[in-house]
Amino acid sequence: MSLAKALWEENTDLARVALEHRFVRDLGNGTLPLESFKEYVAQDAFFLESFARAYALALARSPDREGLRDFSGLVAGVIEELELHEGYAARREVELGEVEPGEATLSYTNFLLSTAALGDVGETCAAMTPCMRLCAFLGQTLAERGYDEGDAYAEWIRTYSDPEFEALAARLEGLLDRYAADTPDVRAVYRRAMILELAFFEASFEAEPEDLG
Amino acid sequence: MALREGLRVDVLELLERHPGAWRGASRHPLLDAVREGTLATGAFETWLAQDHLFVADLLVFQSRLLARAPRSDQAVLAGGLVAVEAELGWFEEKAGECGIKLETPRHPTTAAYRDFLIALEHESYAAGITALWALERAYLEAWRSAAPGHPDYREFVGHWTTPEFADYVAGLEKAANSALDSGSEAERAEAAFLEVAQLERDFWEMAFSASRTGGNG
Repeated sequence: MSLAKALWEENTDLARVALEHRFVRDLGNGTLPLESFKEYVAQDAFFLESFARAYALALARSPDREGLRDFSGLVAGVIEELELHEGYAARREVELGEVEPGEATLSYTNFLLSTAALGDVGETCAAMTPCMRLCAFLGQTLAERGYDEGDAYAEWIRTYSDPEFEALAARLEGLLDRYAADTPDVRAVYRRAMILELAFFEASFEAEPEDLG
Repeated sequence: MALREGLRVDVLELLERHPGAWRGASRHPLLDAVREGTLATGAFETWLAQDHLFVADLLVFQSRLLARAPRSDQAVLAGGLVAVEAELGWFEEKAGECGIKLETPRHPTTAAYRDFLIALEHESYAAGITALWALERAYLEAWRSAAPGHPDYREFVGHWTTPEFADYVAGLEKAANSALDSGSEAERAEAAFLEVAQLERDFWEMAFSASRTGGNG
């Protein structure tokens, strides 16, 4: 079994918790308060900016041509995703430029950037993969459960259940398999990212309207 | 005279302020010879193999620059990364077709360029983005001066003078101008510009003089 697959299976407990989390559940059935979703979009835009930086740092340290090719494709992909967010935010009057990153967001971006700056390329892949794999899993599972195009958050489900997003997640997993060794550090980094994903959903759900910028 | 700090600046002014340095970076007998078809045997091959090494160094520099770029510049830099990576592949493909050996020791000029790029990582973002703009702009102008190119080199010259490449250089110019607008790093940016101009000149000269003296790598 590939390391990426083994790490994902080792963390299915957390993936299950994420799937049953009230934020994801309500997102899936369209009942999530709009304020919570706006907060999520704003925090996610801040997060993705750091995600792009982490990819760039990994690219700079790629030991081979395949790494250069895949990381440059992935960093361009995340910039596109960020632009989609910005379009989405503009339509819903969320001011991304004024986002105050929350504690959960900062914990996650600090973890990503410090791993990318100080860890090796394999550890960086392990820190970044959960974000992609978990979102693909959630999007695909919610899509399988069924949704209507008219649902409030259909766009989110469509984006993350799209085969193109699955391909990006698989590409990053391919890099993880190529560069990461099966070490306790790599396993810890992967699990830490999964926990930070959960904290991110939790923080978005708890956002009170008056907290929003 | 240095760019005045605190005033609105435009990187295009650097070209006007340093016409001699810029001419050295963007015009060279090597390019004239590519246009006329009078290039000495081995010169283009030497240049291409060294430029392949340079492009790989540039990719590393640019990815680190992207890691610290403001959000507004992420798109142009990320798009550039994809293009630069594709450029590496294109070099390899063309070298294969033309029987050019890319595995070659790094020439001291190529090594000096890499050292400069590494040192730039410790400079301000404004200096880094200005240098990146300058080197891409020099490359574009230089190959335009060789256009359309002797039939032996026409495909190469066409590849390095596309409208897409010109758009990319324009995007870098915009990014460099906003970096200089918001900071007080104009002097360091100007110094980086001048260093790029010198290194670009040396880079053309490297292949040209190597072939004239009979060496080809």
